[in-house]
Amino acid sequence: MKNHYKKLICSFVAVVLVGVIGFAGLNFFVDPFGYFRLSEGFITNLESIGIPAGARNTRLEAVCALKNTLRSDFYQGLIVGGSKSEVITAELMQTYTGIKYIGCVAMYGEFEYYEKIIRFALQHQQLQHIVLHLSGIEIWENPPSGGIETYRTPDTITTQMDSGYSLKDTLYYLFADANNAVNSLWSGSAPGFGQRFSIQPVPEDRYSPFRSENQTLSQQVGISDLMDESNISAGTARISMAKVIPFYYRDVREIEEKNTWANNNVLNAYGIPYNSQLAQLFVAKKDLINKNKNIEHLRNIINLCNVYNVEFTLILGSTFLIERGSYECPEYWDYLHQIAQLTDFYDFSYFCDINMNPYNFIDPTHNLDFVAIVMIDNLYGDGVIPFGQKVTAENFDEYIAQRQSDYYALEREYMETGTVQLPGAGDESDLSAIPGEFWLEMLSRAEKNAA
Amino acid sequence: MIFSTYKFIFLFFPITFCGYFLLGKYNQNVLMKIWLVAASLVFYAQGDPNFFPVFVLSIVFNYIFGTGIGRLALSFQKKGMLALGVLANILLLGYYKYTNFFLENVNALTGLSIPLKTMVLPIGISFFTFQLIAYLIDSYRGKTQNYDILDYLLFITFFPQLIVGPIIHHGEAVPQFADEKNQKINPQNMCIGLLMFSMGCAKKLLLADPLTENAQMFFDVVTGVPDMLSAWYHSIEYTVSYYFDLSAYADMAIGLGYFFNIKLPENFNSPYKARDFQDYWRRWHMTLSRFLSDYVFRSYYDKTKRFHGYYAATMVTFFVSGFWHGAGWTFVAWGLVNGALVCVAAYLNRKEIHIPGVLAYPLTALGVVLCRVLFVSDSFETASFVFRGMFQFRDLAQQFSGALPPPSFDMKLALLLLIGIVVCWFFPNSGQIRERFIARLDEKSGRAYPYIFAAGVLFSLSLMFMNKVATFLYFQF
Repeated sequence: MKNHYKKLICSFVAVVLVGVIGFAGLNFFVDPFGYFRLSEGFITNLESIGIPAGARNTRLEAVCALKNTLRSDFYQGLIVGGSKSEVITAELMQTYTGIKYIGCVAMYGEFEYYEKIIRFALQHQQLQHIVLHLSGIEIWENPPSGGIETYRTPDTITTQMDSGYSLKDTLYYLFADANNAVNSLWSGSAPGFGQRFSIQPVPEDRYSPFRSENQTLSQQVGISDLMDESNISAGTARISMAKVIPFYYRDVREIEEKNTWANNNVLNAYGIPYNSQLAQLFVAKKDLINKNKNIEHLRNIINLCNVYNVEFTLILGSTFLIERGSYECPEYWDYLHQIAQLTDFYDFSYFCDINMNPYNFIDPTHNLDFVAIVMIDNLYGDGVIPFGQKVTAENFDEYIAQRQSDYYALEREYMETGTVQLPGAGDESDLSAIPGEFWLEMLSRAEKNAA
Repeated sequence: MIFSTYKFIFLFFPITFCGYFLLGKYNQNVLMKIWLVAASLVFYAQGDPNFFPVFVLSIVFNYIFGTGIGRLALSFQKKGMLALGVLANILLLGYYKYTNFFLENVNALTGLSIPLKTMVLPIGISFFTFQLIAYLIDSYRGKTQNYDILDYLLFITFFPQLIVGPIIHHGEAVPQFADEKNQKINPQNMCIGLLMFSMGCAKKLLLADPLTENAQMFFDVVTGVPDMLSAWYHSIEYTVSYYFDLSAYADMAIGLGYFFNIKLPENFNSPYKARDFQDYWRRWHMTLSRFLSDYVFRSYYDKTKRFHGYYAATMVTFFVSGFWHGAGWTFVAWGLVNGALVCVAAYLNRKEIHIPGVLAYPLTALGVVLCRVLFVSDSFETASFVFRGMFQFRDLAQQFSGALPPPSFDMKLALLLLIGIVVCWFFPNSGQIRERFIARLDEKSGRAYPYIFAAGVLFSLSLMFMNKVATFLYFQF
């Protein structure tokens, strides 16, 4: 009789085993996260091959891109940062410096990722230059955790493998929640078996600027397209510079929509009135939870660059007034002080008209492509529109004194009037009002200089 | 730790199970129990590490009190100690569960603004507090004198029932733990355990979680009167998902109990097939009803005293039930409404007024859905919006005429809801399926194989959705 029960239990186990294989097969063939396609040697943007935004993991894209190009002379420069950094494109950097870059920009930047990806790249690639683009917000909060694919740092990033992927990641995606696969199939968005094998490899020369009229950022690795579809469906259309310069396309606003856009999406973003958001900056207490951790990671990154003898450029990106509400305070200034003691950096986050003008931003935390061009032009070009300053250990006191003075002046204005006046559309600081020819000419000159 | 997770299924459970019966193989009966208690404590600590020390202290405190009560000779001493013990348990539960509720009401009544406490309700506290109080009362009644401390610890901590029940009575649990026959591996019970656990997993992961998530999304954003179809759809969705969530936990707990040769009591018996509310409460969360009946209803009910008759005792019991379910006036109202409906049913039954089945069953189902709205709404305002939406026929007419856009429902979830409704109302429940399986288990005809194959398929399907498991709804109580 005992054998009878054992047979029953074995039957159960056999059925489960078959089920598990079927489950893994479903995830493999439907591939709702795009992981198994990335492992086939293509560098791509997951969203561009039909992966829904929520299932897209820019960190994974970045690691896969690095792994797929190991030991090639594909690029000599690496750009790392959070979503704000996506305007510092590989093409833009190449235009100004003449070397090829790969962008490993992740949604929701954080220092742990920065250190891991830089360490990995240095260990596996001959690099000449690393650009780390920071956003002050990294000091204040971490990416949401708890099974959200978008912000998961893949295990494969820390492995020492020269190719292939970690077992842990592979198992993770084989046994990922089947809802993703089922939803993909149900909605018809699943690439499916046939499509899986029809993806074309990306040409190796893709990182050269102005290669093709059709080239867009979506072909780049690690680029999060924050805009596109949602804006189109919201009644605005993508425009402008993307038509002129193919790889710049964050500037999604129709000119006639500028005022509405700035009003709804920059000044009063998330339905919170501008003046209420200012209260966060001048009144609310800030809790800069990542200060020490970030400094430690930065120290490690600098040490790594020294060990591998790689040029390291640290950029503090352009920042709108409202974003500062989360962190601008004396403790943050001390954080900047500690950074300056570790390395020189280029600060584009100071209080100035470009940063105060809402028309230079697409939302409170992301700026336009134009701003990035001006930033890089001031770093490596002619600096036609002056912007930014180099901060060193030597000039830090002077720099921070100005920053504090500007902050307290704005604070006084807010306390007295309940608001802070900002530059407007068409002002000198409104970069989006400058004609496209100007930018083309600037870039063309930069390319010639670099050559 | 949640049963339907990889961590539990592939790590915690196999280690606990193998360790337990390995010790049993070498006749280490005491070590077996220590092993199971330790595993159960690890299970609890994984879920709520912050409260763990308080949990252990509470168990030890109650054992000392229970033993002490049993040894005291004088009645007034026993009574005093019992009162102290029960009060300590209620205070602990009250502190964690009702402090903010109390402060909110004080603030509302006095206009003060006493800040609320930041505290998380320890998981399972409502359940094990009941079991501990029952233990103390029965110690007072002289029913627990010979309990070994290990058996007592197992009764309280046995991990399958620790967090959300079924609420076991020491009288049915301790003798099973003490019985040495139960300390040998039993393949027949393992088969039953596999079947029950698989059914529980499938109920939770394939039906309850997606339906609950969708219904919760609706209730989270109710800030006005919703359209009629949406209000009904999501209220029914929540009603169905609640049953599957709770009964899934019970099925898994019962299944796990079978692995250790411990038979846990049934907790659900197709409650939505009830004819009236008296019948419904005999079928829904049966071990809770039993506890409330034994320790609240019977304590209050006294035919000889005024205002202590059946109806008053019923209302008091349901008031306690509502308050136990949650620290909020909506829960109290939910309890009282249920109490009133039970009284109506009892009255009709006593007077032998029989409503035809064709009316009785749908009316009971309707009452259950309406009560569920009250239960899941975070305020009376939300509940009121949903109720008004449910009976707002104007919108429906406009939707049919095309003047208003029809509500959009996720068709996949709508299909799941339909399956859920059919299973609730027209299929045998897991207890009945288990009995049929047991009847076929010993047959050589192989009629048990379809059951085990079905269990395997359900378990495989469940594995596919385990990477995103929501906590059980009753974890909040």
